[in-house]
Amino acid sequence: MGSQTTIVLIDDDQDACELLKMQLEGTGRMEVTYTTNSDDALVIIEDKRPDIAILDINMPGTHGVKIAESLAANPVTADIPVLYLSGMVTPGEVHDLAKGDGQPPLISKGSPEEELIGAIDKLTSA
Amino acid sequence: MQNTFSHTILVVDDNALNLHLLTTILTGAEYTVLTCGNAEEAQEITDKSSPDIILLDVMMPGMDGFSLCRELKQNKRFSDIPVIFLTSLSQQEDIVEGFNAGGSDYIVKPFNRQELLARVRNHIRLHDMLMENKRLTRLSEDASRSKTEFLASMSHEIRTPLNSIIGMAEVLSETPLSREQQQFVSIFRSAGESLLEIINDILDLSKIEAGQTELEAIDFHLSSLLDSVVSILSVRAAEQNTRISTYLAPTVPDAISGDPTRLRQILINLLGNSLKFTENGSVDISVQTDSTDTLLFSVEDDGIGIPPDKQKLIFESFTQADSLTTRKYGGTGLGLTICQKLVTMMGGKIWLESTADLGSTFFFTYPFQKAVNSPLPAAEKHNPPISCELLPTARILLVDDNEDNRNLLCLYLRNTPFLIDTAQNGLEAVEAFCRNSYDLVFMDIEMPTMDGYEATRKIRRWENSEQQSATPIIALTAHAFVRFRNKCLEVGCSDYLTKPVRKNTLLQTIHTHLNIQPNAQTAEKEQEAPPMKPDTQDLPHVILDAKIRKLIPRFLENKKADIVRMQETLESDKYEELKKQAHTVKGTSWMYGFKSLGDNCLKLEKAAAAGDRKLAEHLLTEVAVYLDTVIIGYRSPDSKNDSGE
Repeated sequence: MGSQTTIVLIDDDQDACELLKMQLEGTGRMEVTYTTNSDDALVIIEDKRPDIAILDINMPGTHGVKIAESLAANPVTADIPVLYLSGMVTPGEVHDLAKGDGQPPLISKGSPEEELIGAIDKLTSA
Repeated sequence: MQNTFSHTILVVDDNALNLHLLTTILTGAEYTVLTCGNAEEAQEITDKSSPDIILLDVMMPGMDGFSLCRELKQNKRFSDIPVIFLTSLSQQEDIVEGFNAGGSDYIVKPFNRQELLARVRNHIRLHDMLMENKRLTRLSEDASRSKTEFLASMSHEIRTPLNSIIGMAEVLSETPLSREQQQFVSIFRSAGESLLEIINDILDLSKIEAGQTELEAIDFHLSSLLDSVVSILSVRAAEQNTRISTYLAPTVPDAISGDPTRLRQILINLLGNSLKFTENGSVDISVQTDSTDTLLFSVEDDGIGIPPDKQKLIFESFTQADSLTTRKYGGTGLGLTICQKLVTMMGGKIWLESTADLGSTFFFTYPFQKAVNSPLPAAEKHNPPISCELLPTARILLVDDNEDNRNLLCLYLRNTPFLIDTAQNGLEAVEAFCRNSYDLVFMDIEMPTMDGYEATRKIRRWENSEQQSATPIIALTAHAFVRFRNKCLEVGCSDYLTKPVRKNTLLQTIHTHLNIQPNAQTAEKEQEAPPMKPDTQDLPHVILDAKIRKLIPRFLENKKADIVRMQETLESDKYEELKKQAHTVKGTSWMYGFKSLGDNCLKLEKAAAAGDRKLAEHLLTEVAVYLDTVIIGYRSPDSKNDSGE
């Protein structure tokens, strides 16, 4: 595979962003841009047009679900897949939620790294 | 018999002359005399003055003497007063009717003065003896009835301060002490423990004697029971350089039905007794079949032995071979008595064979039945020390009216992750329980204002009406009797601890109940937690992916700063804000692999949502301490995923 998977990550916690950046870029085939200010999310995603957007849900600025809705409503970003990453739910609930129609899939912050990478691969391979 | 002065005689006669004569005679003999002229008046006087004896004429206007006597005998209050008829009716049938009416004696007029006095004196003496007899019977009935009550309350009164003595010694021994001080503390600890042992023995014996001990019939493994007995006493045996061996004959079935608790008690007593008198020797326990349904146990030692003339006495209470033995070897002398009573209750016999200086063998027979089902291996009573760090954070309500007890239990739980609230009586406990949410309650039973039974009932009712699951409530009482225990369980307590409660028992109980009966919050936590292995060491530690190593110092710095920020948020009562902050820290902590940190932040998130300041403060302290003390290890990249936190 010649090209890298480009990822924009929105999470209000700097440490979370740093960790994910390190883990994902550690695979050697992903490139992560992040911001901890969710109000900048739409601008950055529209600008970068990444292969996937990973969104935290509960954030002090714009709410993750709101960002996902705005992305879907914007023709420029509508085809960018979204993955929620949240501390709100258990791995079991993630599984159930993922079955819901039209909802972006969701990964718990407690899930192992492999699961996250697997989910990204699945969403970007289509 | 000259102390007649205190006796009062009622004389009833319609003839004033007779009354005068009798009064003169009786007062001359130093009796107090009351007189009246008819039966109705006699009833009034009897009612008011309770005479010791009544001299009663028969033929009187109105009610006659026989009728009056019958009425008095029917009234419980007066039936004991002896009535002597004094009448001119001398027919045989009159005399018989007089006795039939309840009279104690019958004197025909005209009477002889000396004979009258002799008879009166005699009946007063008999009456006094009867009264004394009744009094003694009542006393002994009362005494035997109150003996059990007395023992129960005595054990309570002694156990309560003993609780503080042993407990404080335990706490003290965990503080930095010089070697000499350590020795002092260990002496007062072991003295407290011996005192407790004595109280337990006395209680045990009195329960058996009062017929309050009931035998159980449950299935158990004989071999594991023997193992547990030996393991309990093995330390002592080693100290005395004495070897314990056990032999279970091949004919003995391993799984049998009976009362393992009592059998264990007998064996511990016998083995303990043998060890007491054996140094640098050996003690052998053997079990053989005596007949198809009887086992023969023997405990043989090569100790000092027991002289023949003392062998019979040895099973009696408070008896040892001689007083010198008592001084040298200690003990209450109750152990063997208890053994004998228990063996007898079980339908067996106990005896001993002994030669002075060569040793003693105690034998007992034990009728048994084979186990119906193959029992589970007997649970070891031996609890390993509990390490506090293995326990999850929980909020505990401690209810006890005694300040010393509250302090002691708080001290026991000082370096644990538990948040302790205290209440001084049942009423305060119920109020606190309805206001805050608790993971566990320790409930003293005997308290003023509202006792533990009532408080537990109220809490259970409240939980019911609020549709909450039952929080474990552990009864704490100094009463050792089974019926107190049963009553605790009846009113809804989940478990029961007898004071004095030891630190390890307390922690063990918390551990058991927080795991086996998790309340809503813990159950939720267990589901919600990412699948990771639990902590396995004492200190908070975590094993992380070596790849993220260089991010960790900054992570820790940032999280410490987050904690400070959250503390400020809590200071200004911004719970909604605190909830969000905790949520973020929780997610990131989980991502990094700090599971317990994340879990505590989840609790903090919920505490903030509930506006529970005290719990939030506690949890913030917990996580701050965690961040300061956590030990971090890293697993190499090629062994990833085989080890969690």
